[in-house]
Amino acid sequence: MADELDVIPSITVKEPLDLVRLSLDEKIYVKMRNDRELKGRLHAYDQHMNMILSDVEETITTVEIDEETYEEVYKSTKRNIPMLFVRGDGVILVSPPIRTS
Amino acid sequence: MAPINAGNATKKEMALFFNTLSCLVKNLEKQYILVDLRNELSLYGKVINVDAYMNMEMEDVTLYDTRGQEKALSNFYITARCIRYVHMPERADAMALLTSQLSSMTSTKKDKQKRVYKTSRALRNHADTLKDAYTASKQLI
Repeated sequence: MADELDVIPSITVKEPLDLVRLSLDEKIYVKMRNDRELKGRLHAYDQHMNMILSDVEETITTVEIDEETYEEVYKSTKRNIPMLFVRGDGVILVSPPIRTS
Repeated sequence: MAPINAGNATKKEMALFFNTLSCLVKNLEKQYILVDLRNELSLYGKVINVDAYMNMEMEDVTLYDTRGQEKALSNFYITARCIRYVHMPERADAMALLTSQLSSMTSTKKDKQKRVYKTSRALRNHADTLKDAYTASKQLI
């Protein structure tokens, strides 16, 4: 039993970006500025959090105020992009793999 | 998949090319691509030049705004900080490109500069002085 455990390579997380490295080639969630969210497979990243994502689903959330009731109405528009380069300065957070059941 | 041809890039720019993903955008030169800007504009055009900071020069550009209006422009320069997304061609394989970049890295090193007579003479004189100093110190002991 102990031998089996030794075989598994221990992946150490020494700095925050190591956690992103663990998410390489996995489907991740990225929160962007301007109420945008991305879900896609992570192919590459760098220290600026520039990223290459594939099979991306972008969700843009906009708030509109109903003219009669003055209620805030959240509207989300989605679009799919096969391969996308995301510039790092717009990234707020990166969340590790989405576990799809 | 050709290695980047960064003609007159400075050392700093080369370092950026090899350490950030800007080399992947650089590789899109001469292709027609779609770029989304931070001010909600999108533009489709041919990439002429990309530098290490990801400033882009494009030509034959069509500009799309949020209302779906189009405008054709012959030349366009984008500063890096205006870019939000760059739509990559679907077949692009980031890993393959990055490995080819890394393998080309060794070949980009400059050859050792040839010594001129002046420098070699200075080095020879320096060696002589050191030798003299060494023998002098030996004699003292």
